[in-house]
Amino acid sequence: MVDWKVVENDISIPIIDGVATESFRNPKRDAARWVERERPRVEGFQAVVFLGVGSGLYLKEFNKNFPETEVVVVSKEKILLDNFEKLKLNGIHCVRAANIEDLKSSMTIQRLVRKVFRVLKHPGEFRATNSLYSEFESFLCGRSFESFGWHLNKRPALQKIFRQVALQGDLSGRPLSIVDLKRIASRISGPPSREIKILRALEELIK
Amino acid sequence: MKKLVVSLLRKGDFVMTSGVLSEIRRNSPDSQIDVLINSDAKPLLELMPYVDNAHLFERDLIQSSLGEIDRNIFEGYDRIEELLLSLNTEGYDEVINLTHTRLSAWLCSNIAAKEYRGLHLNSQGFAGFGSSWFSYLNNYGHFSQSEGFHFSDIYFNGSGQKLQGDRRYRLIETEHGQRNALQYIDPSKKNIVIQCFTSDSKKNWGLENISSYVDYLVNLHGDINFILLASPDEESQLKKLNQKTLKHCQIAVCDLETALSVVQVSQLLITPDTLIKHLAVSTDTPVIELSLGSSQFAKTGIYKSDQFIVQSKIDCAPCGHRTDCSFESNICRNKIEPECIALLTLKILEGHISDIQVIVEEYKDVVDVHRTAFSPTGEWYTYNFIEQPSDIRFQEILDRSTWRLYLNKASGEEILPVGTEVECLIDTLHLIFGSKTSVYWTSILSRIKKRIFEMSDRVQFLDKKFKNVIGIKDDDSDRLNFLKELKDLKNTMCGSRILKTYGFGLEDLIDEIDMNDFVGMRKIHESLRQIKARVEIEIKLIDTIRMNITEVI
Repeated sequence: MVDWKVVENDISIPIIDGVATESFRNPKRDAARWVERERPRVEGFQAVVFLGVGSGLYLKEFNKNFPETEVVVVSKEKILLDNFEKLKLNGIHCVRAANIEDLKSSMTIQRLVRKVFRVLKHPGEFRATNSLYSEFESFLCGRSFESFGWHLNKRPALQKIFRQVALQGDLSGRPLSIVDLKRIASRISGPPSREIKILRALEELIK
Repeated sequence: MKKLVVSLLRKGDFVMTSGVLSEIRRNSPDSQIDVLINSDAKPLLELMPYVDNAHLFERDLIQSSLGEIDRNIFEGYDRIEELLLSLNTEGYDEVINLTHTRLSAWLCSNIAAKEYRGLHLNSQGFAGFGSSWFSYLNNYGHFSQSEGFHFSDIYFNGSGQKLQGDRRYRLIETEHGQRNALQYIDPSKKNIVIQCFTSDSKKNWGLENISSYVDYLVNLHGDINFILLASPDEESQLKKLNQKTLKHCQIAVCDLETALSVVQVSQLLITPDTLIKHLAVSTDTPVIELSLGSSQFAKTGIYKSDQFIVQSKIDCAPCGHRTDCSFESNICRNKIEPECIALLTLKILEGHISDIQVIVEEYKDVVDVHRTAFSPTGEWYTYNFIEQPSDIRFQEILDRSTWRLYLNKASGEEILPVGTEVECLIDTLHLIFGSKTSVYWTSILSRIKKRIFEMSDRVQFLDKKFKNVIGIKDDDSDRLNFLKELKDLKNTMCGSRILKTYGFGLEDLIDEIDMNDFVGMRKIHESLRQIKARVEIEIKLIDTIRMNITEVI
């Protein structure tokens, strides 16, 4: 359940299930500091996914600092997204997701996963909705077995390679890490394909 | 014509390719010359206006994406794929890989081009080199301090550029750099630049030594402005120098453009094995290189002539790149005494180069002082000021000529007639040892020839026997004898300082020998053939040198 508290300068701060998502004192300053802290983590990325929207102040500040970066904001709270859309910021796409299935079916997310993106967490809303948003994060990063397969579906050439290995009994249900790619890449016989060569290049960076 | 030059090691390595890049530009003014470099080397492009476009490899971002749990597992893959897509839209005629790592080989093999030079993988997935010079790099790890070629010579030869004219790295100063440099320069004094830190602490000379060096020089010479180059992270460490020293120093925390201009207008640079050393190659400023830790000056030393390289006399130098120093305090650092470097500095500032020999004699028990030069045939090399002729040193010099002739011939490059080659060799020997000693050369050459002949007989014997032992049973006595002979030959080569470079390449193959492995056996056969070809060249060189010396005597 979302409540609101109006603080200085008529800013409304959402409170989710009793947890305040932003500071009641000078939230604008907090947002600016947060964006500055995140700056090194964002440079070099085409897009970012915000898990949580809060009052929209953090996103507004982010958009001001990184106008070229595509932003997708994910929240389970429709009311917060509706409130945010009133700000009419350019280049920000909203996705309402109450569970993983909502994320999977979102066209915005399907388009996003082929880009080089980074996940950012709205500190307050992430804290208030921790377990669901952690699940979202793991899904977006492809670090669980299920999400790995979902990401793989978006890359047909790679999927072919992994299926080939799966036939040999490797994909037994355990979560995969990028380190597994080394073994998988070396299993493929014959002249290396373009995809295998990229995997082999990555393998060199793992060492 | 569109060319892509790949340099994916450190920034200093990219600077080392600048000579090749500018030479390609000079030879093909209308060509498009692009580079593929690590993104952290981007600032160097300001100094290389002859490069048209740079493609950046986000190495740090890709590497960190592999391990960080809050990053997409396919981020690294996607970044590389995107980079390759952009490279492949260019339609390159030639890709020149000057990196020689597996990573670069995998990347290059995904870049479409008509021709490749440097390590890449062909359509069958086998390694290709495009030039025998890059194939030579495969065994380069075996070469010791004074053997082999400088990396820049290999880059020049391998990329098909001729070893001629002024081949210094070409970095062009910028207005920004020149303007900023003025704040550190004192035109009323001699300006000495000191690079205090390197990325590897084993290569640092140490603040105590720097402090003593400054004090010595101030006492000996008086008015000197010391400019201590530092990165923002290093500035606080430099401020720990004592106040007496700091009074004569300026700490210059600056970008690479400024650093280049500071070095350009100074009278001397003192530096360990760093990017700054390579930047200085493009300037006229004299350099004293302090070769410490894992620094291998024969491969990466200051690539211009008449410079000085100081290395401590210690058995473990140079040490392994990744190994920690086994001593409590780095002995190699402490053996390079500040007084010695101060005296060298003084002679360089005063232009009394001939007096340096006296200083070298005085410190000969603790350090070697090498001078850099380019041979008449174009290779960079170093020689010791007080060097005496020896079998080993002669062999090293002969070996370099032999390799060059062999590799150029194998690459289909033009080679000098033996007579001209030998004249150049004799000039080099005279420069290193002085003409007075040439009467001793014939006996040294005879000894070397005898050793090589002995080895050559055994190689010929094994080469002839090779076909007979393939495909016969494991327990056959011929096959067992062949293996024993092969291993004995390897041991003879490895155990001899005269013959050991002949064993490079063969060594690893024999250690892992499996006579049923067709590819492995073919490589052994090729190695034996290569040894035979090199022996022929070296014997020819020795005979011609002896003939020429006899005529002179």
